[in-house]
Amino acid sequence: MLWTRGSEAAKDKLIMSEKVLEVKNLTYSFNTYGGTVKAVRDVSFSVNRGEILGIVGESGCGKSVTAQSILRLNPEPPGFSSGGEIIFNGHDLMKLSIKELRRVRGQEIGFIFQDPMTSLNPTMKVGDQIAEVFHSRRDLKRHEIREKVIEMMKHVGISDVEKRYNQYPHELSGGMKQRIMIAMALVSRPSLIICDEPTTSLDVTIEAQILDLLLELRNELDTAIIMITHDLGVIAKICDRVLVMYGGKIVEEGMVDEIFYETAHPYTNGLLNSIARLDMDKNSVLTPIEGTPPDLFSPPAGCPFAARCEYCMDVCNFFPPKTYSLVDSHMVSCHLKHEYAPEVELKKPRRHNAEAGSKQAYYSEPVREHKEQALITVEGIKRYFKVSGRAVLKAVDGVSLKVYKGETLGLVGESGCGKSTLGRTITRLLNPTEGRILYKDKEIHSLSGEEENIFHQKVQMIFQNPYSSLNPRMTVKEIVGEGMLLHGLATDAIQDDKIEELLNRVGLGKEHMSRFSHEFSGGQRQRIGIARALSVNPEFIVCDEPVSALDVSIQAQVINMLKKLQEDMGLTYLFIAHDLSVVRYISDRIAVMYMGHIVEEAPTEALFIDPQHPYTKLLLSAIPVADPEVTRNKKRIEIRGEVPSPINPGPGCLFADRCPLATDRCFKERPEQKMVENHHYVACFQVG
Amino acid sequence: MLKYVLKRVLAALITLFVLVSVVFFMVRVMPGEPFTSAKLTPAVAANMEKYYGFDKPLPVQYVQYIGKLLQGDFGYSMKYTNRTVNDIIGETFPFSADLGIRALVIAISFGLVLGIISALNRGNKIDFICVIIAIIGTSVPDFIMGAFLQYFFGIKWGLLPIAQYKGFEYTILPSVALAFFTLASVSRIMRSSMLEVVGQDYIKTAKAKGLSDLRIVGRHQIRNAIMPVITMLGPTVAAVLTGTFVIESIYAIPGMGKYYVESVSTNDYSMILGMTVFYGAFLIICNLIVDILYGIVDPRVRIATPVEDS
Amino acid sequence: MGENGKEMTRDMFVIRGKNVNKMETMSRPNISFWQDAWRRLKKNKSAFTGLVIVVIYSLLAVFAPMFSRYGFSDMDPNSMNALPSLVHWLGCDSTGRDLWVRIWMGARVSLTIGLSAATINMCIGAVIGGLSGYYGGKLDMVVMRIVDILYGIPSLIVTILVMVVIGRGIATLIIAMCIVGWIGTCRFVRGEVYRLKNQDFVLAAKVLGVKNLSIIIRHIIPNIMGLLVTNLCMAIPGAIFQEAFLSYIGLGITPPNCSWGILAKEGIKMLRVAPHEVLIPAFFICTTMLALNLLGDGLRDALDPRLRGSEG
Repeated sequence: MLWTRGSEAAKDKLIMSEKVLEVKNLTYSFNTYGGTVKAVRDVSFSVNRGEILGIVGESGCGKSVTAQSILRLNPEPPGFSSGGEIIFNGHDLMKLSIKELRRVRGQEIGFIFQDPMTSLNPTMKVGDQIAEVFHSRRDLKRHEIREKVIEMMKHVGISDVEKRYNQYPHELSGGMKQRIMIAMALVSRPSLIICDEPTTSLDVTIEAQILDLLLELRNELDTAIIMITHDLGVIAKICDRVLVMYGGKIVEEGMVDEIFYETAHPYTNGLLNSIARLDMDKNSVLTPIEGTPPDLFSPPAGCPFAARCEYCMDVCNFFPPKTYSLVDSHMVSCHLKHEYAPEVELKKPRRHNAEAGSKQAYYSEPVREHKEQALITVEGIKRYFKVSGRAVLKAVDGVSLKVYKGETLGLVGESGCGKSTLGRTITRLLNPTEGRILYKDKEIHSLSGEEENIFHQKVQMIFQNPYSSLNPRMTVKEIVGEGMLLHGLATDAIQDDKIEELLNRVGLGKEHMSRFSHEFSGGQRQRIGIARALSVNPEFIVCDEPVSALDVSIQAQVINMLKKLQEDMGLTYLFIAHDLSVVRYISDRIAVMYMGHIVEEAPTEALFIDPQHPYTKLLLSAIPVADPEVTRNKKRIEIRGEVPSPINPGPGCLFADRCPLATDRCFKERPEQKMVENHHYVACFQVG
Repeated sequence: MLKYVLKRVLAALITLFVLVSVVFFMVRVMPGEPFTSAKLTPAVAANMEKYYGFDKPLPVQYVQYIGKLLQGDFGYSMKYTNRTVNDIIGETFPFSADLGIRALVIAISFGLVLGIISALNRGNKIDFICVIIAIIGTSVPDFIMGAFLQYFFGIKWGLLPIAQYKGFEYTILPSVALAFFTLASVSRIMRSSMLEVVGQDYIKTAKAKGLSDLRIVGRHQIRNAIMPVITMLGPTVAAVLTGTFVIESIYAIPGMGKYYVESVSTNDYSMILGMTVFYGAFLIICNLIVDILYGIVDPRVRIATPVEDS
Repeated sequence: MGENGKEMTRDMFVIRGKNVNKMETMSRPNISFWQDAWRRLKKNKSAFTGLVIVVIYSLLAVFAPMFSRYGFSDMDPNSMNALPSLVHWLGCDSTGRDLWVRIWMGARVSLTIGLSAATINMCIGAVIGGLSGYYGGKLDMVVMRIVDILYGIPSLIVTILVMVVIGRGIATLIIAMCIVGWIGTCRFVRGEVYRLKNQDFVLAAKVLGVKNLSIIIRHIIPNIMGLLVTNLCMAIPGAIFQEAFLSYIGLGITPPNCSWGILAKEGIKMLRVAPHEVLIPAFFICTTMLALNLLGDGLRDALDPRLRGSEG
């Protein structure tokens, strides 16, 4: 059966088809050191045959706990369920004995976990790990099991199956491991598989491959899928129906188009408004959801979202909202649908507006090159790392670029492409193996003592991981004050006032000064990190994936803050990220990196409207867009293979292996960067 | 894998060489030149002269010494006239090896079982008892344990022979006394390692596959949890070996440890040095075996890991 | 009706907007890492008991011999092998020496050796390991080669060898125990510093231009202090054990000096005649080891940053 998502016929079919799984009034809690966490509260939903049901929400909303409690996979104790039914094939899974439940696990319901790196047993051959699903099946002979495993491994797109069967997980790439996990979940042809963030730890191109695979398998095998994710792009790309969870409750439920285009809950709407989208005007401001999710030790009596909701009414604080049915498939738990409630029109995000304006318009956009001197000039930088033996890892292999005063240069690429190494070389954390970097015409790796001090003041960095970027033994005051005192920007006497001013700038206050970092949330920590960078009045800041570890609603807070600070203080950014939509929103120009090389560099809009390099095109096609209609109509590029090992690469273009346009020449020679339009540079033989 | 083994063998050889050289030069710096002192009987003095060759220049002495060790010649005793260290080792080592192997088997098997039981019953009374046993075990030095067992089981209750090594019932007390400390540390490490593994994602994967608890514990948990225990096997062998020094003297077992302790108290320097080299070499080889074993059990070790900075 | 007994009325349906101000304020009291660790340690009954025992023993070791009627080597021929009584609290040994005084004199020696050997080892190991881990490169390579080789040689063998060569005594015993004893600390400190120096907060300090010495003092050391304290506490029983062992085989302290190892050795000789002479020193050795082990476990739990991270 083929599904055409979004069509009326598909919707009818879904509603008509039988229920595979029905969850009724599930409540699940954990006993912890600090009290009982009520992780899931009174959640009911069902999954139909062959459908993909998405469960979306931010970290801590209870989506994973819900999914895992279906198979009782949460650790018990401390976890315990205090009510509810889970009906699967006419049985209540909650009432089954553990022995009976084992016959469901793996056999009738498959499970795919988030991180394929840690979800496979490192000391067991992957083929055996898949075969283990049939462990309790006495009716199957050894070779029959092996055949089934091999067939399923082929099915999920693993080449060279006989060899792979006997390999250990550490010998496989991340994408390959996730395919093994999928094969494991599917090998017994279950009627339902549960995917818990299956692509979160993978690069976008691999993510796209895995999502396509799941869609394909669903169509072929008619398996129902529950897809847990925080990424609305993934939801838009593959889900038929969606549940939105917040604070342990389902706040909205509906067909994917209903959720995106007829959004009824303020939280869902807030999420959609807070994500940076590819189609966003870069001068617009993201609308973050202010505040932080509720404390689940003592969840609010009323609506969990009340405190952060701009339509909050008195009733929301005292009464949990009823669930209102808008159409058969679309349900929302919000007091705004109550008969007493005022009529409210939610501020919808603008629809994706494909390819407006002409190509020429984007190139004629003012580019700063003409106006200003380059602040940072990178010339032929190479940075190699020795790996064991004689092997050399060429993390950055000949990169040249310029960053002009007041602009933001976005640096994009998948993990391991060398973007962070480049960022660290620019901030002097690493010495280059070859090449030079100029800051205002001075080579930064051979500065005199005084110049060095100035450099460390003027060039700063913001880090990715909000948990490791603050010293756990220092107070916020010490963290933010360290640089000021070092560079003589404040004396002890006026230090407090200055720190307070900085904290106010990033939305924190005086009362936070004496606190230690472990008391802050991820978003708050990231803001403290920004305050530290700002404390020495820098000119140039390298932002190394500053939002990728944060929830979407918090991402918007931080991105907006960075944009505002740039305007207020005239900062220049090098913004490193793997997420093209965030980069587009904040950058003036973008450079795309692949295996240590910059393959394309262009003004932001030009890159998106008129991408030249096959790799850029691939990246653009792989990003999941949080808009179901756009995803459906999007031109798809077939993605071949995975990023090869950066150790001892061949002489040719590094992308040649995966490139649809590659010719013999591409395998023999490495292309130089050339200009294809004004300010638009590409390193490829096949274009221009 | 071959590369890994070669690397380990090379490292072991270097270590051995360093140990031997240190021993050689220590003899030279020893105060009072015990090997040439006038107290020695002429026969012993001649033996010393023959083995160490004091009349030759130092480098020559060194080369000769290494050569002799390579032939397995550990020198002469200063106390027992005309007996070589090799003779004594040959006579006594079988007793020590027998005792040591018994103790190791007891320590590792019971230690693993105790650790596994403890971890599987985390938080309840069984776990509590296992943890108490383990903590007490690591708090009682083996010579005290040896004395206690001898006193209660041998002297007070008369259940088992007090001393000597002449049959199975004679081996029980010394091997248990020797094993106890190691047993306790193996069980502590196994317990914490089991608890760490049980929180790993792949255990959840195994659960989601519908495997029985027995299979999860057996095929997934123990297999991975045992790694840290294997790493500490080298030090374990060393601990058991040094433990034999005191256990053998308490139970009057004619093993190598007893001789070693005796030579210490009678200042039989050449014997101490010869036996030290033997012990050192023995332990280095044990470590080598453990390293190779580790490479076999854990597939990840065989592949070289990248070094971060250049 | 809501849970709070209110009635849902029409006037409650007026949009008031969001109320996020209170969300950034913090209600928890402000405590530092060490205060928090102390609080956890106090809650841990067995660790706290261990701490109390260690403190009592240390005080007794210092003061008990001062206030005793007997000297530690005074022999009383009338009370050879005497059982514990009001005159001799813990009885006497085979030559009529008072065990109470001897135990605490022995404690002075054993505890001093245990504490100083463990501390010296920790300092040497921390400095070498720390520098090696922090600066990396060639220095690290050389240090690690040396450490790898020394690690292969069993430490007790080296200690015995050194004792044979340099002679017996308290000072030489400590020296001998420190020649290879620092290796364990060195390895673990190196690993820890290596991990820390690649943490973003250290990189951030480097970007700010903070000098290496400052980074080590302000960022690295405070973050490994907890582990070092735990490590020290775990190393002391090992050192006491080694002293006892060496004294037992005749390579450590020699009579007439006394240590717990010597007392046990002398006691074991009298096992058949006067078992209390071995039971009493054994009791003190074992309870000290037990107390330090429990304290070490408790410290590890209280100071383990991983446990904290999951809470915050």
